[in-house]
Amino acid sequence: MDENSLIYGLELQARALTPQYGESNDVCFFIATNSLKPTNQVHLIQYEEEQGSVQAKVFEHALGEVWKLNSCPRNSRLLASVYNVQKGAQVLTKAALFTLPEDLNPELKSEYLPWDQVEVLDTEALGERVKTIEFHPSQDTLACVVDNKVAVMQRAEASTRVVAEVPASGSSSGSAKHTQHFTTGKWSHHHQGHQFLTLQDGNLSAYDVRDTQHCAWSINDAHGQMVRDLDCNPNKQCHLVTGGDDGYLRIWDCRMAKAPVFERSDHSHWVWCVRFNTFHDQLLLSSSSDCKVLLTCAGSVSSETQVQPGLDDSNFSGAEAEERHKLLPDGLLQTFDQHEDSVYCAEWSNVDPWIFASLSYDGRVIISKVPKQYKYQIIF
Amino acid sequence: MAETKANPFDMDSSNFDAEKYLERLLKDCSLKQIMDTEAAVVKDTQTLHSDMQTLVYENYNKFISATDTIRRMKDDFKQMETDVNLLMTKMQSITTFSEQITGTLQGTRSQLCRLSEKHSLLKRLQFLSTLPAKLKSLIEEQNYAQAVQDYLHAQKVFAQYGRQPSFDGIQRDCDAIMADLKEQLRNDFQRAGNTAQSLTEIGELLLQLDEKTSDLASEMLTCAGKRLHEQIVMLQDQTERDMLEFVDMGIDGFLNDLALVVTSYFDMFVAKHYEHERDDFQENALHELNVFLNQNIEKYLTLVQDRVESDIGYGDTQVMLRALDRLHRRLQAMRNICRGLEVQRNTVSIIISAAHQLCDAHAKNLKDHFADSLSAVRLSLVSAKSDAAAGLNLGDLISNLYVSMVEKIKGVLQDLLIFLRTDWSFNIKAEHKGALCVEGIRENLLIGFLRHIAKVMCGFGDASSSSPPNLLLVLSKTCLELEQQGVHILIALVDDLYEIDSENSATLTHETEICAEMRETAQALLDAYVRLQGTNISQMLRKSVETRDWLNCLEPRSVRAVMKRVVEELGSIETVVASLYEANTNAASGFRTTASSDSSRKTYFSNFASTSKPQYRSNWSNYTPSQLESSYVSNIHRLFSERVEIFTSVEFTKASIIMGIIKIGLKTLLECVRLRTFSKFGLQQIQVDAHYLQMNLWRFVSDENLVNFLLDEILGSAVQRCLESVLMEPNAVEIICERG
Repeated sequence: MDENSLIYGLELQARALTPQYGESNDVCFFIATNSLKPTNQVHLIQYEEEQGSVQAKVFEHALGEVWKLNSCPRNSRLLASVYNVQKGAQVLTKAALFTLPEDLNPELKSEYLPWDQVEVLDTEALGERVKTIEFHPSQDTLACVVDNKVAVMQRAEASTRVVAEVPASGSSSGSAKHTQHFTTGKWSHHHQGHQFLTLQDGNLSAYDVRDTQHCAWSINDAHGQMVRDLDCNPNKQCHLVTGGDDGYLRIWDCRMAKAPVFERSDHSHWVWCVRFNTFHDQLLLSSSSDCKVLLTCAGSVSSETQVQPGLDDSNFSGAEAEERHKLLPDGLLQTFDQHEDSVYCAEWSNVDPWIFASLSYDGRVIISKVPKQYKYQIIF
Repeated sequence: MAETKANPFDMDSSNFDAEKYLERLLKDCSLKQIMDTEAAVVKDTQTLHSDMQTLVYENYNKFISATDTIRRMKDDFKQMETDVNLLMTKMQSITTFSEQITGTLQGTRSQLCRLSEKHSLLKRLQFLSTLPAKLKSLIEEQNYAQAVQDYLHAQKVFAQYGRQPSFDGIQRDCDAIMADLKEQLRNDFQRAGNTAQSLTEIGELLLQLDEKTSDLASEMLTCAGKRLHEQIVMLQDQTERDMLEFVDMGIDGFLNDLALVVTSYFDMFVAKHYEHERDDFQENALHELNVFLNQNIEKYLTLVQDRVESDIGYGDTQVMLRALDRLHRRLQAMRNICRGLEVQRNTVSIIISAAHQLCDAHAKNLKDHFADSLSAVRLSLVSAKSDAAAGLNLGDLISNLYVSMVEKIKGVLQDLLIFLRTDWSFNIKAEHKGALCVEGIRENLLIGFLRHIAKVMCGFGDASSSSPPNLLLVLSKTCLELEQQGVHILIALVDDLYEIDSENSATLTHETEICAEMRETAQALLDAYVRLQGTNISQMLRKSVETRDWLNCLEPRSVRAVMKRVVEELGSIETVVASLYEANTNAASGFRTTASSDSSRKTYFSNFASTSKPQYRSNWSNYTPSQLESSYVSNIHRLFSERVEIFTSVEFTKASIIMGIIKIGLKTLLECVRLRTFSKFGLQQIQVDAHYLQMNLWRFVSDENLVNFLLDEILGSAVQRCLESVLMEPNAVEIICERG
């Protein structure tokens, strides 16, 4: 395999991957398995760059198969999972918060490390199917997307408030109800953390959480078909990326909902996950059920286009600056095709901007690096 | 020596020496001889003597007579002298008499002279005195030319005697009359209603009346300009006439007048020399005339051009061109008349711009027509209800669209060819602009239109446009036909008709470029079709998986309706596609269609009995529960199999198109299955459905292993997502499926 990448295998199918946002020194990711078999697991893997190896801590996720994991950006020990439980003849999706133990290297008594604390969130009042639990980037607040509702949970006050609800359509038939459900959501990095972005079938809406039912803006029918994922540009206001069932990757300016400012269609099937690089937001990571992870450059709409020319003018002659800009053209930079099954998750490390992890359904985690030539072109 | 010098013995010589002669005689001769000699000498001497005497006598007589004559002459001269003297005195008296006569006659003669002078003067005076009346009558008769003639006559007299008070009055009268006349002439000159002919005449009269040449020249041009302007205005109103009449009117009225003005001006001011004008007057006049001529031609041609612009595309191009041809000839003739003058603007440029405009109009027509036929195609596709009928129609629609498009373009090309007819007096191609124009027909009209077609069609393929899928198929096929034939035919036609050498031209678009564009468009449209149909099927499958409660379903008794609908849908798609792409897959499909459903089962079973086809393994029906426990099985299989690209370009064959659609549908099913949790019966339902698909899809595709592989993955995933993975007996599955 590629010298740039490192494979870590799980024994079960997996669909949940998240970087440990609270950790600021080591490259760490959480992975959780998605299997109907009794013991699902949560793996905390730490990538050792010098040794080129992966250290794993394995926890048991006894509550059920995990569909989604999120880690708290302000508390490295806090983790939220969304999981399925079987209740009679029904499958419910619920959510729980897990706290890692202080000591990650105890003397092993069993196969799994013990959790410090497990708290099942009370979501049954909101609905049957939790889609995601999103940690607010700066406050002690959770956003909970359940069925057709978005609820904000103030942890400190232990209060839950529904801020957005898509009204159930007139007919209560199953299919009609289903299309109204949110599929996922995410906090906006901007707007003082007051906006929460939601996806619902082909539409993208932003809700102001200070009010109820306050839709700040929306982009309708962003991909013709279902929109699978979104991410905000952390460095540039109003820019966000979406991926959908049409295999397109689109960057939108939320002030211009009519047309995307950038689009690529390098995937040959649904795009399941899209991520801006936190530091160099011209780098886009996307994963798809065509078993590929793509690294795309969207330099023309990144936050660095505005900054760089000024720097160049003072440091370099015009020609050199020109040449530098040419080095990283917009478009597909690299295809990572070591996965053998659909890749449902791909995430940048929050610590090292050049490292990312991707997880395919067959349980294969691949930790890869941005190829050196692109890295140097961006740095220098 | 003496003997040699002179014979001393010769008596006739002066050297005769008598002594010697005697001596010798005496010595030599006999006595007798001496006697004889003596006798002879004596005789001779006597003879000689007498001769001498005679001679002397004779000469003496002559001398005497001469002396007598001289004496007589002397007397005669004396008499003559007296006569001459007498004559002299007489002559003197004659002279004095004559002087006397002359002196007396002198006085009478000068008187006579004076009298005759006075006579002529009186005659002139009479003329002058009657002049005012005469002038008046002449003017009344409108015989201006005679009046001016007379006046000019009188003018000289006045110039001589003008100081005398008696003439003063007459002169004043005449001047007054002539001033009136001048005024009248001037008015006439300025009056707009008269013809160029009379303008010229009046101009000449005024010129004779000592009008200031430069003023008159400029006035003439202004007046003529006004009149010409009126004609232009008149022509402007002739909108209801056709082009030919319009141009004829222009030639008869405007251009003829203009030519007359120009020629008379030229004769009056440019060709003649005027002493009292500045040296560069002629030059200036010529310049003025040039400006004037060009201004008016410009005005007129602008009018013509406006007319052409408003007419082009509506009227008969042939008529218009005939009119323009006539105009061109006339202007050409005019150019020859006015030597030294340059007509800057050319009718050819009007013709070229007309050609350009006609091209544009045709291009627009073509685009409109194309848009119309597209919407017609769209409409007929939307309104056609039954799929079978639509399938039959599709071929017709394509050929209609294609043929009408090609025929329309051919018609336009033929239509434009009229500009190049050899019997026109102009030759567009001779001019650079014209040549560009002709190339423009190729580049802008034909190539531009073909590109427009490609672009518009591409627009239909856009994901955002909601075109009916069959439209995409029709358009794709049309593009393909254009690529394979139409483009070549049309470009060859235009090159042939307009004699354009496109092969060796660097600037002209090459046929292959357009072909490639068409091909790309066809491909894009076909891909869009596959995606669209694939998405339709996907939506059905996705809804069916997402909305069903897989945990609480009963044991499968039948194939789910959605699977049947998917197969039906694929069947109708195949019918439609086959109506267009059958020919391309003749060998393969011919073989396939002969196979019975039995053969399908055979391939299906042989597939997992033998491992000769390694790329896509069919293994799910061999699973035992223990094998199913291990997810590695499928992973290992996957390692050895090829990756399946879902959204990819398809080939222009039926099998490839259908396969593309099936791939998208099955992949969707796979992803949806992975998101659900199944009970035992749920899994078995999926097993039944997958088997049904397996049984029915083979006939659509050329590579059923790929279908089997995808179905395996679906079932494999369902097994993994199942709480109690127990598969049905294969026989039971088959019974259910065959029951339908």
